[in-house]
Amino acid sequence: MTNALLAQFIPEARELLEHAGSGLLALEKSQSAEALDDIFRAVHTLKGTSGLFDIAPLTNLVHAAEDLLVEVRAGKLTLESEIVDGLLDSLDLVGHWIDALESREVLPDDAEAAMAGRVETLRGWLEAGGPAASVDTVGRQAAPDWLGSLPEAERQAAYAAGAPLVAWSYEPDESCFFRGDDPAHLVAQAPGLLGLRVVPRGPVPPLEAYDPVLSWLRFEALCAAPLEAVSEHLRYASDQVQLSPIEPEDLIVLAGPEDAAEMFGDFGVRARALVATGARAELKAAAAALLGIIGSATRQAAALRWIAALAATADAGALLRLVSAIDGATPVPTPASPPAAALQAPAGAAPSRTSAGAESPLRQRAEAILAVQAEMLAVTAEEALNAGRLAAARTVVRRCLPHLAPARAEALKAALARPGDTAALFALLRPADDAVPTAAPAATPTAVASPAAPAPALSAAESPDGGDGKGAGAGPARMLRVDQAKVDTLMNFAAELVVAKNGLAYLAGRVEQVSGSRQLGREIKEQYAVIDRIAQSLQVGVMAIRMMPVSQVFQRFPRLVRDTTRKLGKEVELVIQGEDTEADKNVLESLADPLIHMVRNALDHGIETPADRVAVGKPARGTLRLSARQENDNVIIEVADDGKGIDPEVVRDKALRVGLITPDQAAQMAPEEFVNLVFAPGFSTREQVSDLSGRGVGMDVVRNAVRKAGGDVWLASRLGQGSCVTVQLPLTMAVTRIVTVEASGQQYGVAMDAVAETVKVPRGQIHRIKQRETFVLRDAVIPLVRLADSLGLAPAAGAPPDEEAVMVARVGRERVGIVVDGFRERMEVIVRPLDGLLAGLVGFSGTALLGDGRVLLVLNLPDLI
Amino acid sequence: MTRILVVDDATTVRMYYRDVLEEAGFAVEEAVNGFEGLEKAVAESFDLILVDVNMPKMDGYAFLRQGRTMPELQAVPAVMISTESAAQDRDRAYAAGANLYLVKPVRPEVLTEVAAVMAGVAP
Repeated sequence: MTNALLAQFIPEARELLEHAGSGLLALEKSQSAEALDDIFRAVHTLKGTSGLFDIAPLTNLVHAAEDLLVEVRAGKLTLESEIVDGLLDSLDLVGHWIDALESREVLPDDAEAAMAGRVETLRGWLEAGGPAASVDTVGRQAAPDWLGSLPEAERQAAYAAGAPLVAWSYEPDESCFFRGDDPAHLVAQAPGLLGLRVVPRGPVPPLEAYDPVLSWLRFEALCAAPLEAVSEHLRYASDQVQLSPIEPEDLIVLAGPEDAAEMFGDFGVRARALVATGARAELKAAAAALLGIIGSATRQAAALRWIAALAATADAGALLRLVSAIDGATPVPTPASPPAAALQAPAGAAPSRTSAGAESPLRQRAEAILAVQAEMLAVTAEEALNAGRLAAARTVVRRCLPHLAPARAEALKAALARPGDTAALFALLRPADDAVPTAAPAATPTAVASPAAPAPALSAAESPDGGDGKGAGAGPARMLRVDQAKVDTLMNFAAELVVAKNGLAYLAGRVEQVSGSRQLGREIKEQYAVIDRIAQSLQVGVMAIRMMPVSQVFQRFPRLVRDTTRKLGKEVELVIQGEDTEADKNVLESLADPLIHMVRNALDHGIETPADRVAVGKPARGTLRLSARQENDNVIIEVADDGKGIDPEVVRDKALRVGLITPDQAAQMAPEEFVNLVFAPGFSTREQVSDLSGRGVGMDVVRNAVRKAGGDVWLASRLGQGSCVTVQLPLTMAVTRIVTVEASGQQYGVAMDAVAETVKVPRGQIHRIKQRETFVLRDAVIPLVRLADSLGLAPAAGAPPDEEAVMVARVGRERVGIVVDGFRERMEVIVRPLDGLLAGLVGFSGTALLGDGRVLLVLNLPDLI
Repeated sequence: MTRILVVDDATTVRMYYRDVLEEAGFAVEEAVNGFEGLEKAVAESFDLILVDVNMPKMDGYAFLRQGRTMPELQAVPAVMISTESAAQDRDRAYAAGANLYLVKPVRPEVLTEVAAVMAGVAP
């Protein structure tokens, strides 16, 4: 297959796997037929689609999973955890194979072996789950071969009685009379007894050896009763009895010598037409009429008697099989249908038919399709559909005509021209070799009256090819699958444009300064405003393409939580909220790994074992809440548990011990500040902190990842009640709104997100509390940090100003005042991360190119303070 | 131009039919479920319909049954393409009004020949 097709298949397969996987998890929680249908459909579609490619192991494995789901859907198998595990495991493997297909376009070498193991497991459940239902599902017993020896009338009566039917044989023990058994009575009293034959159980011995008080009998009987009832009745003789549940079809056993087939050919053609059109009374009459003129001992006569007996009640398939038994034509196909098989074979493979004149290359195909039209019409359908089915078949026949041999085409054309004469058309549809075209009209017009072919509907349906005048209607919204790289490129250009337009504002200023032309400067500014508006719209539009619901990230957690808790022996209910919240795809991707980390920590260190929980009066089942919401230009993600929480004392002691904080610093810190020390690098790397009755493993990694994406993370905890980690991320990482600030003559950018407000603080209002400068802002004490100090710059020369320019920044949930020398303009920039040698530089989130070509360093306040 | 409607919920499968049939000179339109298929088939006219069995919202059987009772659609030939090869599945398709029943995966040459005959292209 083409690479493009494979490229299409891969994301679709992933989607289907994801769908099936999450569906299975949901199903494990609460059974729902709808959810099961959904999973089944996903797996089924995957199986069907995978068949387009040369990846048999994948198709086979998915097929096995589908079979298992079929049993579950039929209620024959319960979806236990073990089976869910097995299915998930198989889906995972298929997922790996899809990855391999993506990178190498072939399955891994071990795929065949891995598939065999999984399939065996899945099939094992299929069989293990089956025994209760094995009687009617797994390999039905063959009907006993003596069934045909029962009188035909008895078998026909049983056929009319319908299922359940049991054929059984009983060979009483030789000495049964001595034990007081009464075999004849037992048999006569059998429930629903319809047919009985008594035969010697073997050759009767010569008279001198014959013992009249021993039993020599064998009973063969047919009951219209459930297997259990018959079995119950014969329970005392169970070792001498053989029971076989049978289907009504099994009763049709045709005995007798074969008559010459030719003389029945005409009847076959007519009978098929009558079956197809539902003219059952005529069929019965025709069979009876023919019976009157042929010998009754032949196989054909038996078939005719069956037709006559069953014409009113049997389904079309059974009748057609009987008709075939009479004229020896190809029996109506069972499982591997000859016409369908021919269709699947390449055109050249079918035996070619000899014919005079030029032959259409599609002639065999057309003949096969014609035969299927007969088969199709012969199937019993809802009355309301018959007009349409016939009309469609007529269209197909008409379209086949150009491909047929001229004589045959003419005959069919003539039949088509008589809309009421369905039977004649039907008779002609058999493969050309079976039916002599000119023989068909021999069926008498009276015999082919066809109640199932309403002529008026036909004429209306005759012109399917004629345009109905309606133009192309607008379909429902279509989805477009686009390579992400293309959207990213578009996004980058849009972002560049947003930044580049800043150059125009700068240019306008230059024009005014250099050439003194106010008019020109104003015109440039007006033009700038137009471009600005368009650039903004473009950016918003492209960003909207990349916005994804948070559910993209959340959807993996039900599985993760389930697997982890099972391993840890804990019980946890996962609650997901706000999964519709949208954020930029890149932002979500940067969130994925930290989130896994946080969830694992919460499960491992936060939530207690059921026993511990019960001991402290909590419900045994813990709760993990994963929520998302949008706040301004940020996405807020929270991971909250109702576990044991973090003891701030323990964290403080440990932080002091490892030298993260000094005793002085510790004295200034509030309890919630202590718990946030778990994010500090080095806090967890020196020793495992599971003794911390909380979390901590690799939380610095989490914070680094989040900060790199321009966000922040903090933790709140109540001892004994649980913890909540909050992650704040920008909605998009592409364009950042910054304000430039000045310190010691240098300009720096600060993301506007981080800035709560800017204020001028008179020197007199700055107080020192415990070695730290602070000021009061609306009744809150805000610590002050001098940017120049933090950056290690020499203070600006000259006398300190009377008023300090203070930027109040949000760091986590704290507010900090940052003293700068002054504020400059605000703008939108693309912040490029520092790379190469500068990548390790702490305190900067990156650089930005300004409209006038200068490079601006953008500060990362949380790192800096 | 001879127009074929492909109704299947699997994007890859639709793309495959489209590739093969367009290569052979047919115009192909797609629908992702029976419901959308009916909407399209009524709004525009088609010479042949290829329909999958298992689809969300409206499956292939329902699509065929509905189509066979609608004056615009009842005479349009339809091919049902399924993953199941059992006789009762085939009979169910024929009862619903399919003119042909093929089992996936359908090889390209089979698809084009069937389309050439059933959509009415002179040889």
